[in-house]
Amino acid sequence: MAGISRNGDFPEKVSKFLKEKIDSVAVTYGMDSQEYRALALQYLKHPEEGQKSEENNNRHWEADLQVDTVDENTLILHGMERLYNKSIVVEPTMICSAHCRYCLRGNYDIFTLSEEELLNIAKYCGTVGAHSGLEEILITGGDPLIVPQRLDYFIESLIEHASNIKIIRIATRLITHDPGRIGDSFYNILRKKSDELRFEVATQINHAVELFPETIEVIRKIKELGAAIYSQNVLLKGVNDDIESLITLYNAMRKYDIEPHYLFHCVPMKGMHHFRTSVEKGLYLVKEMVNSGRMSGRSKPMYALMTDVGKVTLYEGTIIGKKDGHLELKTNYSYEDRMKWNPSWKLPSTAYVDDSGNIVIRYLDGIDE
Amino acid sequence: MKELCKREIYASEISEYLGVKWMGNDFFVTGPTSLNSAEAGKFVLLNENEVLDNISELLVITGLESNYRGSAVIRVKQPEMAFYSVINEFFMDVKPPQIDGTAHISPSAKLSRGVSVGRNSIIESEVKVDANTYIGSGVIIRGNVHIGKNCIIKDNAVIGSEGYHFIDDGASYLEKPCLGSIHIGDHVLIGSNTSIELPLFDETRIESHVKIDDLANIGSNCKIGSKVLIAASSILCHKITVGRNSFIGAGAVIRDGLNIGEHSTIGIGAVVLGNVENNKRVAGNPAHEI
Repeated sequence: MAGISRNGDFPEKVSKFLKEKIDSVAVTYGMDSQEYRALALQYLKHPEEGQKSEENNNRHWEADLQVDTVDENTLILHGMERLYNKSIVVEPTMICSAHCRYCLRGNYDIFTLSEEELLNIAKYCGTVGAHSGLEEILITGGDPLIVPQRLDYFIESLIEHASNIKIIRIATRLITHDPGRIGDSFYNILRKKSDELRFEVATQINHAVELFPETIEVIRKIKELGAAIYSQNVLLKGVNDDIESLITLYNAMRKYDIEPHYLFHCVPMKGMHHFRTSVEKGLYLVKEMVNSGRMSGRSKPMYALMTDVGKVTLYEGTIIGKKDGHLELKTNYSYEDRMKWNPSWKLPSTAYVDDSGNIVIRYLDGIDE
Repeated sequence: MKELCKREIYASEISEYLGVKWMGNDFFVTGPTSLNSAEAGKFVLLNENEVLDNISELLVITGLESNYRGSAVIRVKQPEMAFYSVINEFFMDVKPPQIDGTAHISPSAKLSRGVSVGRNSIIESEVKVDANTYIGSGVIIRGNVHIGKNCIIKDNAVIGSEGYHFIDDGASYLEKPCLGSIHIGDHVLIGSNTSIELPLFDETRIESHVKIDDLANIGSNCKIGSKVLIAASSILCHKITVGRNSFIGAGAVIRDGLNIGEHSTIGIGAVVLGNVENNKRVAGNPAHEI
């Protein structure tokens, strides 16, 4: 994405809050428990991270935008990607208060965008973006709540320069990493909600044990301020790749009003082999879970893969081939359309365009052991 | 307004925020401190020519040329800017906007989203205040006044006070009414007990990013350029123009109708009786170039 590869140097970083929670879970449930394993695997370095495997990508997709400005200079909007017509992704900072070991941005250089860079992005959204159907923005990173005042500056710039933006999604794991760091600087942003501007908070809770009391308190406050909150979860071997963990997780999310969104298969990137189940196992788990009679249809996620051309939700007919440990996936992404809104984008070597003009992408499967 | 809050943040995170790769052992930092109170678990600004003994787990932000030899150090081009931006971003929380119940706000005044108004403030009709401006306690704003976004109006400031204009009719004075408007740009600071006068006609104008300290008087029809700094107790009489980026020292007095050029400096306590050209420095009574 928008960062530069750090060649696999991804230091362990665990916030003080999480350290205390991991210690406390070890005492309460024991170190052999699923609860302890769910936290430890997500945050503590694992010996298998350094082992060679088929997953050797250091980077995910590339989609930085090059924009022709009014003075005929080409401006590269660093920290911003546009893979979809109606939405863009912006990364104000790549800093997080804890490092998830399966993070797809873990191998990228760390940067924080300046106010000038954020202003340029806001102006792009209100000009080129407005003419091409842009109406939604996902602010992610890193964790944008690490720099709430810069985030506020960006949102104010959007309000001033891009009235076509109607939905702002803010993705954060600070609510589980260190909820005490979330204060009015962030809540004031949600207070900017209006009839014309909706806020949604995206988070990621992979196991029910992560719904700490302090986390629930932040969720309650976000809801109180009228923002939606939803979770994009990742299927992680040893953390939640069993029926019991998934049902408990989605029922707990419902209890606290967290909408289910995607359940992602773990991306094929360097150091993640030990986290990756097969895609088929994920399909089986989702099918078993939703047919278990132990959870409501309102709690069901969509099972999806993060591919080199964007996310692909699995439906009948999506997987059109299997060869050499790879899946071939038919997407609904039109190559021609994509080039319209991001002319600098390049079709990755893992993809081709089929007869209908849509992109077909190869995806490395995981292995069940 | 902002308040300091308790947080525990990795030193490496502060370093990353400042764009400097962190080397060495990491540790938690709980907030800023001064050189006099420097201790483990804090972070401190070390300016050029200042000296500090190495304290374990004290994070030092200093310049590229600093001689400091401690292990937990972040070297940057502009250490002071870096130090305060870290305080602001990581250790300060912005209070939620609030209109105090004791404030009197005219129903025809227009206050945008995020505006705060403190206790006993009075905002009369015709006043327009843009987004996220903070108005303290006891502030009075009246007349045709437009205040931009993200301004801070400190306690007891008066914006829209009557000017001091009289005609001697022999037996008494006839007061000239002030019929113009006041325009205040974005990100302006108006200090406590400072008074901004309405003009006779036309406009009293304060451009964006001007910072006016406490107890100042800005007379009718003054025009203050962007990024001008006006220190405490300064008095600008009627119809004065101050060019952008100028500095007016504490207690300076500037006579009616003068023009103070851009990037100029008026010394502390100066009594300015003549125009000041761009980039000039004046001081004394009467003020002369220095």
